[in-house]
Amino acid sequence: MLVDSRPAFLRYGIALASVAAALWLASLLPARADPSHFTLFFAAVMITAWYGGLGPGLLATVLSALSLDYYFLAPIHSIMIDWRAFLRLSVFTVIALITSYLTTARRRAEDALNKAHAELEERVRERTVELAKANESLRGEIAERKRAENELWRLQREMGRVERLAALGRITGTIAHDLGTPLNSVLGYTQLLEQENLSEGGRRRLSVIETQVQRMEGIIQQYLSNTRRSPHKKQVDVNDLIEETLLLLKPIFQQQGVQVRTDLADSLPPISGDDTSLQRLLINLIDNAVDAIKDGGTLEISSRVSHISDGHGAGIIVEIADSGVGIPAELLPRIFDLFVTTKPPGKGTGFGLVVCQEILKAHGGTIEIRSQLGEGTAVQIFLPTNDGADRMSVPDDI
Amino acid sequence: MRVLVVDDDETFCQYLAEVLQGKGIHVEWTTDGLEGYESSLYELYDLFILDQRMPLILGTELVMELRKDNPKAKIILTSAFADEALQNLSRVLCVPLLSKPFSANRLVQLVEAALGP
Repeated sequence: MLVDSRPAFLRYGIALASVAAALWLASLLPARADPSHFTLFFAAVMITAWYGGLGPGLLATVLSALSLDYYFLAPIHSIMIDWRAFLRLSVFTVIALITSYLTTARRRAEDALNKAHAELEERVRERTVELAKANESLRGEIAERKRAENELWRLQREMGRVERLAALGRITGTIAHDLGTPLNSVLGYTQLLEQENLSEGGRRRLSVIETQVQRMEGIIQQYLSNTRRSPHKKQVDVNDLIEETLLLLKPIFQQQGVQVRTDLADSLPPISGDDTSLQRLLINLIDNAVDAIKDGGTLEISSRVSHISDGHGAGIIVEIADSGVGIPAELLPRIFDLFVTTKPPGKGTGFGLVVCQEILKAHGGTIEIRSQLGEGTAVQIFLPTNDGADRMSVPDDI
Repeated sequence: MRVLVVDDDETFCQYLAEVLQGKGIHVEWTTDGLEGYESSLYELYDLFILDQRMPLILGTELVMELRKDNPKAKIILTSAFADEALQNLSRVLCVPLLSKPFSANRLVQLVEAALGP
């Protein structure tokens, strides 16, 4: 059952007002009662029933009947009427009552429908909010799953990389061993031959053999130094190491027309590390820079003590920047993967940076590479001064 | 002076023998590690030159066997893959380690140092 929320005085006031309005309008018409008068009061009853409900509708009916009787049915200004007038008034009253009832019922049905509609809308709104929440949490779960998948993928890649490195270390060791001894014999006999009386041509040919064998040994040693565990650690002056390395590579700079600029800090604290593998690190990085520089360019090497703003602990920062071809952005994230190279076929092995990373790991250091295609590459390495010694370890089989 | 060379590479044995014989040192050699050990039981050698990686026995294992019979045996270890582990092991065993490839001069130097004046 619907309860009308509007105050009773307002609802009954509407009955009074609408009947009064009908009375006023009717008074403007010719005095004799005709259907127009009845219609006006009928409208007043309908309006009252619609806005006020059944009670006010009844009141309006009674007031309308009395008004019609008193003002418009002969004899005027008297409630006394003849039987014809009484019949007309009775018919009006009955129809007004029925109309009042039906209008009220219609109004109630409409109100109920509106309320049901509002409730439905409210429920839809609530469910929408719930769905949005569920959706949000689902999105969160998907993102979480994606993160976990990425992490798993990264770990698998790292594992594969370590396995490949280990395999490479074993293969290199075996090759070095199997070739090292016979090469030693060849070189040894060559040197023995040199002590004999040989013609000028013979001596020259022997010298070629010796050079080539030494070259083969050099290649083996290079592979070994790239994969072998660091044998010695000691106090290393990084500036000395840089200068020594630059001197070593001077012929290559001259050959490639590379201008070398250095900006080394005046006094650097020594670091604890293996100078051979650290030099290997510098050689690999400088080698990459030189390969990237085409038709003359500059190579800048700087060293300094690390600041707090660098985000590292106490240590040394070495930066090697070239004005070379740069690394394509899509290749940058994979640059430390084994066998990934930017160099032309036959030139790069995709091995150098992997070794650099392993050497830095062994020294507790880090490496960062920034590159702009066509403008150059800057490699920044950090080597800690205090805890390098504690972390000095490389997996045995690399 | 008698030296026994044990290395699974025959040519290399011959080369070492030739170098040392040039210096007036008597050299015997074998490519079989176990045969080398047997020879040490019957013959007296002033110096052993052993390769580390051999099929039946490692050079360092042979060092320990030789030392059991003769704690003062003079030995030089050679290896084409002298990694940190082997370097440490040779230090513990007090055996000089010659990393291949080495020159004839380096070998002669080390042998003469081991045999003494």
